[in-house]
Amino acid sequence: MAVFVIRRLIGMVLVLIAVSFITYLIFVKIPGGDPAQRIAGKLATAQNIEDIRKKLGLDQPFYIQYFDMMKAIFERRLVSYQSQLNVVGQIEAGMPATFSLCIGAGIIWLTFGILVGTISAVTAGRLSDRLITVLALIGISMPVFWLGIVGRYLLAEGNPFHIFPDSGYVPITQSPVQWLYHLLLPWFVLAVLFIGFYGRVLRSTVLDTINEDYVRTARAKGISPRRVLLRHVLRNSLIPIVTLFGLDFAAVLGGGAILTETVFQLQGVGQYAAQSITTLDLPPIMAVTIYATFFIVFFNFLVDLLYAWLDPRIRPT
Amino acid sequence: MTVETGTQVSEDSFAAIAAAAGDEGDVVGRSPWALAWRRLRRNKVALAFLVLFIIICVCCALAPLYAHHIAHTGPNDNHVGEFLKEGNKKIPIISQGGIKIVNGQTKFTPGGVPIGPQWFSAGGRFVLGADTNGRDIAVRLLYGGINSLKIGIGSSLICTFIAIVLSLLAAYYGGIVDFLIARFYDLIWAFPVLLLAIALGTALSINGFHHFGITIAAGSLWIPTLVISYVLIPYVGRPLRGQLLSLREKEFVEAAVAQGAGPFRIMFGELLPNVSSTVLVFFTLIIANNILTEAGLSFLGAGVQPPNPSWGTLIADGQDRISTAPWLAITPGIAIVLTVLALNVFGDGLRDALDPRARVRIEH
Amino acid sequence: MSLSLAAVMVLVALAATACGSNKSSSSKNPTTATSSGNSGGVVNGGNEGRSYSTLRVTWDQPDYMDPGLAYTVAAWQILWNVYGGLLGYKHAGGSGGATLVPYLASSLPKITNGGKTYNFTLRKGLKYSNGQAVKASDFPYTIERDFKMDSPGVGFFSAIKGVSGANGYAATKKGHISGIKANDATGKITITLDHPEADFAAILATEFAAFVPTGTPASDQSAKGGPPADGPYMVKAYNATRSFTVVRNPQFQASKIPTVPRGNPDKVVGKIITDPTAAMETVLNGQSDYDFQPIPNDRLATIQKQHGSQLKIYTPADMYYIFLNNRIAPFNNIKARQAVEYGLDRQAMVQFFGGLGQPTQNLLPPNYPQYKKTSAYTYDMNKAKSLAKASGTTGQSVTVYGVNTDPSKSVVEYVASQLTKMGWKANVKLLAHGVYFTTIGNQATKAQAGYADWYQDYPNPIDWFDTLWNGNRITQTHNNNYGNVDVPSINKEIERLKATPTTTPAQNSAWAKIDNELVVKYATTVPYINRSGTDFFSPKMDMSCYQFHVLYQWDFSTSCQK
Repeated sequence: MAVFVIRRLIGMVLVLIAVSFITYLIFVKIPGGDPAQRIAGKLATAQNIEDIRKKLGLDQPFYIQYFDMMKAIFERRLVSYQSQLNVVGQIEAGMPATFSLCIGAGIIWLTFGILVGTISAVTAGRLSDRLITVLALIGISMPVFWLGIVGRYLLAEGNPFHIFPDSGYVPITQSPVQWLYHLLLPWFVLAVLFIGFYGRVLRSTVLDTINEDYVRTARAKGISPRRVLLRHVLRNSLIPIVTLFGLDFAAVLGGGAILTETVFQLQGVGQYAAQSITTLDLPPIMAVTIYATFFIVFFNFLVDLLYAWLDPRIRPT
Repeated sequence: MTVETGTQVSEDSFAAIAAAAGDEGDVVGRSPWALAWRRLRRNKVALAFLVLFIIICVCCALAPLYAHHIAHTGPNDNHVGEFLKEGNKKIPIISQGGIKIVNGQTKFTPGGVPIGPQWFSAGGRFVLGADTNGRDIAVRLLYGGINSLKIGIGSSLICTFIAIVLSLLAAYYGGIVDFLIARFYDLIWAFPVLLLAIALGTALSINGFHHFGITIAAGSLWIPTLVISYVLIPYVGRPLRGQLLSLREKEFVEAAVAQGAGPFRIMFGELLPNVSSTVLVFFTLIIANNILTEAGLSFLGAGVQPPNPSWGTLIADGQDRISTAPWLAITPGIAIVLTVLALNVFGDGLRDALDPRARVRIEH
Repeated sequence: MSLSLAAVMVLVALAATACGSNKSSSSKNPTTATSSGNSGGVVNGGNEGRSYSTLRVTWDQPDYMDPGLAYTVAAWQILWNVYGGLLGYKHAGGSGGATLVPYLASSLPKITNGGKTYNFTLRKGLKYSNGQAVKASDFPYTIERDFKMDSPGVGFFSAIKGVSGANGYAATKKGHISGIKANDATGKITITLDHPEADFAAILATEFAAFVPTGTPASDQSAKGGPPADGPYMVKAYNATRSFTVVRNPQFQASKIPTVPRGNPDKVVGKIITDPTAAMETVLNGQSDYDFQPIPNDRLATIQKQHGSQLKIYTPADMYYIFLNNRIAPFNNIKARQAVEYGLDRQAMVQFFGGLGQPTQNLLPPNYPQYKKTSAYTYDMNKAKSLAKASGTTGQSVTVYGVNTDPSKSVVEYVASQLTKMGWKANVKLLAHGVYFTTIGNQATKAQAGYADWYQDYPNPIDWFDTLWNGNRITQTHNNNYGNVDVPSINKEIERLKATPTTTPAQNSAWAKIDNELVVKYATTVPYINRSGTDFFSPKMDMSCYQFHVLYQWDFSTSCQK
């Protein structure tokens, strides 16, 4: 086990290096993106631009620039070309919003996903099952940003039904009530897709499990249907859901919420990433990529560990 | 979301289908494809949605005819400053505002609000209204559909093709080839998909791609198509590789090797046919996913480049006008939902018929 | 200056000549007619002394809270009440705001040596917010600090003796600038220039020349709320993407600087929101008293209808234009350029701005004394088509460049669509704000046509014609003459007027002639709108105090509440 963990950790570091280097290569040769010109402003003299290039180390070979940039990220002194703000500080400033959005949405989609999936499986073939199946299919067929825009138009302030505030993020430390109020709509918008998906996955695994021998045995022993469902069926059907949740949650934290954050102007890490990419601002792009990749790789690792623990037949190698 | 990990995909889908078919007491001797078709034919809902998808494709394909004969305008033609005659009413296509200074007072009349849906009262012009540039939304919706479908289907084809070839190579050669391909999958898998796609899309749409003897212009549809296929390779490739690796160990492959069959013959003659049902299911469901990804990319400006429409760019354009012209953002969204829903329902039916345990995780 | 590069900063025409037109003052705000009247020594009309405790505002993200680096109106609109230099602008609405007055200097400069030497004497007993005394030597320190920080403002100071050249301060950043002499004992400051420069007094009034105490680190001080302040207010807290708090500077003595009002609000609490819709909502739901951001086009009609009395429309000195590259095909052909002049419907283009603006065919904005209205072109697609055909260039492909957000996006799509109608194969290329102007300003891009705008840096036609259309100033990279406009006779005329920068009627008409010839005779550029902006207030604010400054826009220090 220890060997497995160490091997995976080394692998994680290698993946982070590879991912950041590829991101760097994608952006490093873009014309017009010259940060020195951008910082120098319109009255810039050639001298001025030369000085800034030197100061930023842009006269160095690109691999040294890459190395310097990575070093600056980990020493927390890398600043954006566009705004001159510390990128690590900006990511930290965005994290409360992103985490609030993702954790809240995660709880919602897990709860509703399990609920919907179980009801659907238990009533398989009946009206409620069909209805749920239809809704779930529609849920996974909607672009999340479109749902956000339409939801914002229909339900948020200044529009036909004023139920929710229009957009923005209020820190929980400032006002827990406003925090909740501002996040409810984004939570559901982000969660809809996953509720549909998890419901469908759970429905099919529950239906599979119900036909397993041990469930039949349990039923034959006269255990109440409710107990069979909870103790035997659901418990085993939830394993793939837990796995999925780990990966999806990481994906959402690591940039999957870009669209939701942008639509609702939550000023989280995802929106910061989107803005940085559209302004070709390399330092934040690098930092956000590393941040996001870290979550994905780390949660993948956790899921594998959990899987090995839940199912001893799988030997981590 | 991602495509399911290899361990959860059936190791031998053929056996599973055969077993399922056996349960229903079918006559032995039919080919598995015929059995699958029989099952699919019974699934009326799935077929109905297949028809819906085909209808959507045909409608989009007829966009030039609609534009020319009914709407009398092209997808990128502006009609700012023009008027629409309905009966004896003259309606501006874009409401005309401005600033006038009268007796030292600034008088401001807001303008720039596009005309709403006319349905058929204007003889086929502006059926779904206009956008802020006075362009016919119905025409743009159809042309946008062409682009969205092209990208969705094209990227699925490319992505599936690359994933098949890589996974076959990995399974046949094993060893270092398999190791390298598996690490390549892992690497893309580790990338935040949307982030990578936006980054690539943005970077490439600035100056295009001019390396390795390949030249792609900056505004080309190939850019989003290739970007989407690239970032989704492991989502098809990983489960496929797992399945193929176990097939590689099967007797019939050993037998083929013993008979002296070449690598090409084994990969495409023996291995591929045994995963083709899974591939078909993946392919269908991935189209749905890719249409959604294209919409997301275009919404963030990293997909189809203006003035060319796609369903994603149309929603993005409409977002800024949601209060005064909600139809701009709502109609293309409905088009996406219908298309993706059709593909999902049909894909489900196909899966039930072909490979009941294949499952695609989606990412958008 | 370009809106997208450095946001908005505005200066209306010279006060002396513009006073005749009630148009320029009224277009800002009808109610300032009384408050901005030239009533002797009163600095800000009748608003002074109406103190109140807290002003809550919603702002766009400032670039810096450091006067040495800030170059956006979002920063300057705050900072001009925090940092002052030797000279500054009068706190007044209308054209009165363009008047230069002494801030830290005891009087306007004595200019000697044929316009090459500026002599100042510092006011006595002034202090920074940290209690440190304001010294004459802080001035050279401030300018040298700008150079050490590679401030975007250093280009303004290149005329000062000892700055330019291989051994100049700009290159070496060592020692001191030889052209600036300061005596702390007497408070005398002497600045010597290499050659006379008409705009130099205005340059000294920019925030780049606003005093910071000697010893302030030569690095961005925004995170600390900027360097110690010498104005009526100081930045107490600043979080670049979230919020700022501005409070009274306890060391500021209004009696010692009569040209700067003490200000009405005791405290300004700012929320930074970049999304215009969200920013507007804060005023609508009572969380804020002022929305800096423009009201989105989508909401203009509703806001005007429901909250018209709280909405102010202002017209800064700006101009939006389509540049045509006069050097490369097809627009090196005058007929092709004329086709575009006729083929764009300027009135229709105003709609991309939600109707907020007036169509124009002039390069200079109307509030200039040099402005003489041009109306040479009426929209005529048939004429445009035949001109395009006559140019023999139809069928060629043209890429129209623009910024990827509205209004630029709509404008560029419109232009491309019109060029297609005229017979060219038009494409669109949209880029992000941050890289757009450096891209089109690079000759390697070979941009054939595109979107551009200009908000002036100081009240002189030089800032327009010399920067934007003087062929002698075309550069390989970071070019401001995006269309490579290069008419030898006009270049010569600009150089002549630059050397003798006084404002006589003859010179005004000479500038007006350049304006007219560039657009009509040579069809070099397609100006199309003078754009207006919006200021939106909560009902708490007393709108009779509204004062729009020609350079720094709405002046919060003179605001008052009901």
